Formats: sequence, structure tokens, C-alpha cells
Amino acid sequence: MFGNKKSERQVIIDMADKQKRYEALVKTYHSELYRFACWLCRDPSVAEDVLQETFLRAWRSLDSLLDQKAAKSWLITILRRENARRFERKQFDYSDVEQDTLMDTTTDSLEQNMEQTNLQRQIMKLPDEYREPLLLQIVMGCSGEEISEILELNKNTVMTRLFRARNQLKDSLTQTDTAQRGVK
Amino acid sequence: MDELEFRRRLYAEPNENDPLIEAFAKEDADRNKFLNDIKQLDKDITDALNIPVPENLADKLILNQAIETHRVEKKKRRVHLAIAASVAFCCSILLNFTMKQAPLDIGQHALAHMDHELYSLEPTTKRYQLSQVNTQLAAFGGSVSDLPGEVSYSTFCDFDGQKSLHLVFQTAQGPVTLFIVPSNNGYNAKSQFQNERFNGQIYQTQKASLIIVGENGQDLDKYQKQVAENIIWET
Repeated sequence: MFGNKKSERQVIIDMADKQKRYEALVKTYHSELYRFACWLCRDPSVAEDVLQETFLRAWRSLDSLLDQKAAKSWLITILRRENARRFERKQFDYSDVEQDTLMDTTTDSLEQNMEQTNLQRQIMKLPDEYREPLLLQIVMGCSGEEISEILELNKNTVMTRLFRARNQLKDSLTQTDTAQRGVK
Repeated sequence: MDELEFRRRLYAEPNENDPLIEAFAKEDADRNKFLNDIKQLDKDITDALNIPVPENLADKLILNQAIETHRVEKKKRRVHLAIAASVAFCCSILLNFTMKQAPLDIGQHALAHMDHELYSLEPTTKRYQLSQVNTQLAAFGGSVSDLPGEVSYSTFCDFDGQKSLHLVFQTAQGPVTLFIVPSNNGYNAKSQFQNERFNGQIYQTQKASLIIVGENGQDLDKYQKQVAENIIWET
């Protein structure tokens, strides 16, 4: 309002620059983040909402992202927070409903939405604390250090959880294999 | 490296591709099988997790942001408008206030008043008693014991929004006008003023401004002194 022409032009340049950076972020990370969100929320439509909210938040505080290398961890952190907020909201929404009458509809809807393979079902069954590091490692391509930073755990704990996650998957796969063979 | 360490590390990070691990695996057929199995498992997991991403998701995200930006801009514009409106409002209030408070050039007003009420100076046989004047002056809480001449005109006037007493008394030099304006009016006590026809002076007493106006050439000093000495204010 009070700026001179030059600074106005600078503002427009800055805005265009911000827009470019934002679009680059979206294009680079949206697929991985979407998959991560799907497996985290167990529901693709919820995952999309969470992702929208995540990117909006990212846009609003894009100026605080100084190091492009940190972008991935930064986005993941925002997404995890958004996902956690969802549960806060949910709790609030359902506060006057009998908790024990609520059905686990999210798992159902993922089953409806996705033709699940046995392995996918087993991944779904993993406890959150094991599944999340595994998702970060495989879907997001994070290193052990990055995972421990994002989850705020020490690296040994992360390694142990990754170990247990794969171990459980392997066990359950051999179990279902033998079970199927037993039926035959 | 031992067997346990080998398995732990592979389970944790199958794609680390540490040469130490590769070498350790090659030593033994079982280990090699385990290495391949776990790598295969990881490939399977990767495939399983690799669910399709909706088309246009990126576009949607960008669009969403564009809408948000637009919304924020609109809100900002509204805020700007609100600020502008408040500033304008404050300015008008302030202006109004300062206009009211601004010290007035009382002399100019007195001259304008004279021009407006010229008939008050016209020769007349009407005379007011001192008691009549005092009755009017009592409204301001004052009284006079004597005036420099006979009073031919005495009325309450609006002196720039203030009730004042407008007197004309006849002197040897002709009619002289006296305005008695109750004080606390923040007038600029510029003691002298004049135009082509009249000149005047202001004398600020404790309770009122005494403004004496006469035609140019009249000696107002002595009248002013007389009035000032003879006027008494209730405390």
C-alpha cells in the first residue's frame, strides 16, 4: 500500500518464486506422500484430505523452509501432525457418542477401495509403531537417521522396529502359506 | 560380524548394500539364500505399498493452494479496507475535534459580528439602566458598577457558539461596543485587531474575555481600563 514501485515488483517476483517452489514441492513429493498417507490413515479418501491440509500448511509456512534438502522430512512432519490432529478432531466429534458402539469403518473402506493382496493385509495388521518406520523407509525412502529424526526416536529403536516389522511380515507370510497349503 | 548381527542388519535395512554384509553372505549358502529372500521380501513389500496415485492429484493440490491464496488475498483486501475506513473515521473525528478546539481568532470574529450587527451602532434614544445590564450579566456571574457611557444596546448574542453579552455604550467619541464572553474558551488573546472601519482589543480577565470594539480613531484604552476595573465576578 505504501511501498514504491520497485519493492512492489520485488514482492511480485517473490510471490512468483514462492509459487514455483511450492509447485516443485508438490510435483516432487505428492505421490510418495499420498502413498504414505494412505498407509498411515488406512483410507485413501481420508489420506487425500490429510494431504490437502498438509500442502496448505506447507504453503502457508513455505518461507520457514530454508533448506530444500530438508523438504521431505519437513513435509512428513507436517503430514504426521495433520494426521494426529484428525484423531483429536475425531475424538471431539464423537465425544457424546457411545465409544463402544463405533465400528472400525476405516479398515473396511480400505478393503472396499483396494483389492488387497495378502501382503497388503499383513502390512495393515502391523502395529502402528512398526508400520510407520517401515513406510518411511520404503515409501518415503528415508534413511535410518531421517526416520529417527522424524519419529523422535533413537536410531537403535528405529532399527529394532524395522527389524521387527519385517520379521513379523515374514512370519505371517510363511504362516499363511502353510495354512493355505494345509487346506489343500 | 556374526549370524545375529547379519540378520538384524538385513532385516532393518535390506538395501543398505554394505560390502561387509555381501561378503559375509557369500561365505555360506544359507546366508546367501537369506539375503536373497529378504531382498525379495522387500521388493514384495515395495510393490504392495505401491498403490496407485489418483490422476491430477498434483493439480488438485496446486489448485487448492491457489484458492486458498485467493481467499487470503480477499480477506487481506477486506482488512485493508477496514483499516482505511477506520483511519478515515479517526481522521474525521480528530479533525472535528481539532476544529472545535482550535484557538479562534477572536478579533476576526468580533469584526465579523460588528459588520453583521451594524444597526446596533445607529443613533437611538433607547437607554438601558445599569441594573438592567447587571441582570443580564448575572447570567455569567458578574456585575458592573459603572460603564464608560450610557448603554444604548444590550442583548445576549451567540459569539461563535458561546452565549455572550453584546453591549454598546455611548461615549464622547461615539458608540463603543463591548462583548463579554465567559472565559475558558481558549481564545487567542491577541490583544489588538482591526479592519478598514473598526479596531478593537481583547482583555482577558479571570472569568471572561472583554472585547472592546470601536471605530478607527477612537481611543479604546481608557474604556477598556474602566470596564476592567468596574466589573466584578462572583467567586
